[in-house]
Amino acid sequence: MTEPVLRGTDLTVERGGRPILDGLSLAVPADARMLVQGPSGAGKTTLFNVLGLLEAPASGSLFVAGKDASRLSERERARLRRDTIGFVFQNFQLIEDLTARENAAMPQEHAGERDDEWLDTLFEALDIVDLAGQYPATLSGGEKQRVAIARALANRPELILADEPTGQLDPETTDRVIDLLFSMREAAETALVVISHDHQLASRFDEVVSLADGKIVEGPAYATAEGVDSPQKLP
Amino acid sequence: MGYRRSILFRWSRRDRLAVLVIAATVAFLTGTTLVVFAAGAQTSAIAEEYDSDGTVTRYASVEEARAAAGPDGVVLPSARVEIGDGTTHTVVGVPSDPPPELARGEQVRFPEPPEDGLSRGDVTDARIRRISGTEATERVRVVPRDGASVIDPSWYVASVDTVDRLGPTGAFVVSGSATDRAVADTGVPFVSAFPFFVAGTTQLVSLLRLATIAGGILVAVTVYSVTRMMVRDRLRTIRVLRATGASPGRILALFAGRAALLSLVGAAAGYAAGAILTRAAVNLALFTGLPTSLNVQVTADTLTVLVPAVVGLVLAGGLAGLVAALSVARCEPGAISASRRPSGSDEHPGPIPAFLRRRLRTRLLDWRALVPTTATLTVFVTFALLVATIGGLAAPLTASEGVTITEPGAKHPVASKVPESYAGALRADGRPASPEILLFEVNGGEPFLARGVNYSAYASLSDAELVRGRPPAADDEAVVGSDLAATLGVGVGDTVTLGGSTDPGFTEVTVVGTFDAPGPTDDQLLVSLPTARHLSSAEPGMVQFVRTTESPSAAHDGGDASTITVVDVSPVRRAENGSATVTVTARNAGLERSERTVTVSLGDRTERVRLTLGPGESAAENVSFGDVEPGTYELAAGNVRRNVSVPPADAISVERLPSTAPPGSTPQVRVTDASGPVANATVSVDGRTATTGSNGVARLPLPEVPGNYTVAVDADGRTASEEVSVGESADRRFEASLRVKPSAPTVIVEPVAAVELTNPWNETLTQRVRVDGPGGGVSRSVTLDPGETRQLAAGLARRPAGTYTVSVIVNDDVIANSEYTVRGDDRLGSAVATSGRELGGTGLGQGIETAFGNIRLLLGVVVGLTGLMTVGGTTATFAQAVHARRRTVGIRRATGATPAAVVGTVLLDAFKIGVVATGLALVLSVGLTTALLSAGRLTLFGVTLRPALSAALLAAVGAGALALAVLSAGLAAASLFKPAPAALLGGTRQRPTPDRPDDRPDDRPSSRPQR
Repeated sequence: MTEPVLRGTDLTVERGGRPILDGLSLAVPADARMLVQGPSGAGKTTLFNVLGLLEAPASGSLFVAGKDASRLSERERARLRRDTIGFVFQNFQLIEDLTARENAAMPQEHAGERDDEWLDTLFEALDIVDLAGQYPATLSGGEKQRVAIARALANRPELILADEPTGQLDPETTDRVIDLLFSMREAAETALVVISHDHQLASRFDEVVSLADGKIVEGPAYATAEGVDSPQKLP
Repeated sequence: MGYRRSILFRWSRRDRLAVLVIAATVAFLTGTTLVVFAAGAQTSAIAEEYDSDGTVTRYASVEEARAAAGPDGVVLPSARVEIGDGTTHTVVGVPSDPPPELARGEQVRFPEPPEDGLSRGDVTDARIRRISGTEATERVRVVPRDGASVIDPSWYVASVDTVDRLGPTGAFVVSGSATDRAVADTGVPFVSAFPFFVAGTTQLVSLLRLATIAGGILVAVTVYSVTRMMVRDRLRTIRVLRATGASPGRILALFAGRAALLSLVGAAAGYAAGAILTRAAVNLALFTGLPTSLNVQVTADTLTVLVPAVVGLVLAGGLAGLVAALSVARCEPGAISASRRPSGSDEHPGPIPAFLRRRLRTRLLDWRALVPTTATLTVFVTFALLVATIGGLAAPLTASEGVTITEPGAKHPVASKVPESYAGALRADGRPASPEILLFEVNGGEPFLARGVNYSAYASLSDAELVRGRPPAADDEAVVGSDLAATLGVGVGDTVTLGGSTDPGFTEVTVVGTFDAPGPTDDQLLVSLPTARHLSSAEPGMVQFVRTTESPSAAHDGGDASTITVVDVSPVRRAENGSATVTVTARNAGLERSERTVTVSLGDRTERVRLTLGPGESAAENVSFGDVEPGTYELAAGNVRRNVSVPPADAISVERLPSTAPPGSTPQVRVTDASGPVANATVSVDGRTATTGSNGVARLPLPEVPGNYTVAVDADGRTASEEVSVGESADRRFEASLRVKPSAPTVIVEPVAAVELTNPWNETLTQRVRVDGPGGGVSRSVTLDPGETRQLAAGLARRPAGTYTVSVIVNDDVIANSEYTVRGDDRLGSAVATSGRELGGTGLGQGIETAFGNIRLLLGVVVGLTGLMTVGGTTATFAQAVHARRRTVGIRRATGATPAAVVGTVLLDAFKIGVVATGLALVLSVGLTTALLSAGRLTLFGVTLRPALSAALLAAVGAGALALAVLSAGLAAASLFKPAPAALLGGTRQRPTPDRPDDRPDDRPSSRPQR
């Protein structure tokens, strides 16, 4: 067990006086294959935003790849996102006027370092080589999902964060997407955190963290509040 | 809230931005309309003083004129005749009919024709002349014609019969006004100033109407683009509405209504803003001391422009919304796709080569922004070109280069009176100067400026270049600027009838040349000064203003910007104790209180005297030098220098001794010293002696034998001597002493010759005394008793810098003379310029500034509002474009793009769109201006606003437009810095505000709590 790639302590987010995240603590080991599940309104998407540095928590601390994110400027946070985290968004969030390939290459463009070989590898692994020149409007949901995964892996991140990656897919496609995420995680040697309301997925993950009313109600000891303080003691 | 209300009233940020664009446009229209009407009303009120509604029209033949003249019209036949000396002149026949009445019951002033022969206004003596008309040659008597009339003084006036005999070559029809129109379509008004303003204002208003149409297009384009975006954002809603049974008509009505509502709110806000800003501008102008008295208010007249404009804008907006929604509303519900076509690849217009397409490809902003951007930039570019034109019109001769000298205190140049000789003085001083009279003219309903000039002086000051014909040689010849020639449709060889400008009258000039000149200079007709004087209220020898070159300013004389000039420095008076006193006379020629320290030097000794003078004040200060040895010194104060002799304090002198005298005569002589007359002095000549009385006067008995004698004076050991020539031919004449005051006048001063006449003889003499100076003399008969003394003063004309002689002549003999030097003072220009008003040097600068005393305010308001309109419009356009891509920006930010990188992308995109939009805008604006020019719509007050479309100007304006586009995009993109990426993605539920419920398009999950 190494230093966790992501460690949040006492994270709190409030909206309109109502706590969305309520002093939540969570650690993600560097080789994690973690599912965060919970009912609608449990705070899943907010947690996704906070862990992905897309939104700053009202209080609490967050270390990503050993850096204290709360002390970083937006510019530095953007760099950290770019280099450390790959996102798979709920609605894929592909840019409509970019081709599949251009969408996937975007993080590399931000970094200013094109790695076409790696992109080729990803496209082959995801079986979307033929779709590279197509625009999102002409792709099916599953195809968009694979383009989104390719984009998430474009900069060889240390962590893939996926928000409801299977939310709009049928069970068969869901299985394939999960398989794909797992295999890509293996190939790219990253941690994977999937956030989903889908209970069916739980059986496929090593670690399952359950969220309710902005708190972790169930999960492996090393990942929860008690474990965060002393992650090095974990088995 | 039902869906109808939702669609109509729930406005997103981009809708509010559209409202802003519309508001800015309407504010511009409102503000401009209010100011133009206010300025127009005010100038009309001023010009109404000169109102008189008679007109004069020229016809080619008497028959034609008779046919055209109404019952009130009076026909004046005219003939071009050759006078004995070979020159050609006009003879007008004045009938015995009563002249027509003008407004306010005045009558046209016709001169009385002489019983037989001709009369002419600018001759002083009657003469017999040989006159050849087309049908007869006669010897006739030409008599002087007194009094002002509507007929040019250089024209001959005769009876109608005489003109008929000579052979008429045309006729003028003079009519008191029967028309109720302010500006007659035909003929020229007797007094054109008022019609000039009325016609010019009409042109301005018609240009304003065009601006309204342009504004309408701008609003339509904006509303169309906003509605298109809104329709696109609401495709899912529309699909659902259509699927659940809404008819296409209802969808159309909803979106058209929404668009009209946006326009209406924008128009209302803009109207309020325009009215408020304009008033604020007037207040600001007053606060900053700009002389303006504009009364900006909404009147029935302004409403005739504003109401159609606002209604048109709202209709245009609604129509644009209708068109924007049309394609979607008519679609089958199933065919309405919520997906957008990719914009980067194929959305920019036209067949574009692949490499260019790659270059032009934007990463964030939609090429749809091109149309509204082009629309606003076209307005910007057109306006910038016109402003550059107006600025360029004034630029060549204003600012550092040109100075106009007018009468101090004159309200405007037309009311100013300046002697024409100023120009001569300035020219003598080595500075080109042009005396000018501005004339407001209207011909066939077309207002234009004419200018009375001395052509060679005018040409030396302007860049006018004769391109056809020749310079004018006679008073009734004129040259026309090429722009005005096009406007009026006249050329070399044509005659132009001119009406009076501010005084009733008319005349006719022959165009002998056409000139090209930069700016509005070639929008003028240049006539002779005598012609201009006849048409204006300028008196003989006077002009309205003198233009000259560089403004002598504080730069001169080490920054001493005082307007005080030293006028004179008196001779030295030496006191008993050896101290010498001089008197320095100085005048403040400025309009404000001024101070100056004047250095006075006598030889190598200097003293300083501090002068503080109010405007126009003169003062004399005494300056004393201690212990001055007798001798000759140079005395200098300011720029005045003279050599003075300081006599010994006890020196005595003999005065009034004639240089020649008859034998045996006994002239009176006077012995004086520094303190005055010396009594008991012995005056002796050739052994004869006389002793002075208490008044220092003695009768000196001269010898009987002709010859030269020495007169010796002795007063207690102080001696002096003078020569006298005794001869038979010598007359008994007055003795005179002569002094010019001030001793060294400047070119603007009229010096006075002060003569002291004495009769030294023992008999009463009556003699004709003449004082001769440069430019003429005065003579008068003077009687003096024996020993009597009398002072005479003769005014001398203003002269250019140089040395002149003044003489006192009695019986053809010069008995005294004096030289004086007129100085071309370096400070003169400064003093004159600050004493008068400095104005822009050229046509628009004066013509329009005079036409609109408030033109600066007008321009300021228009420039400000247009800036607001274009900056607001472009910013809103880009803000919309940026806002539409919030989600994309969010994705980029989430995947690691820094805020700066995103803004950089926006700016680069804006640059690409801006380049294309600017190019299109330049083409459209140039096309638009050219079209307006050829339609004559850009001719205001006879001045054609013809932009000099140089590459440099287009480049500058283009760069400005591009910078505006990029700046606007930058302003819009600034909003992307702040929010967290999650907020841009639409994923967070931060502060759902009821008044901005749909910042997010419908194809993202609604964050509003469902009710």
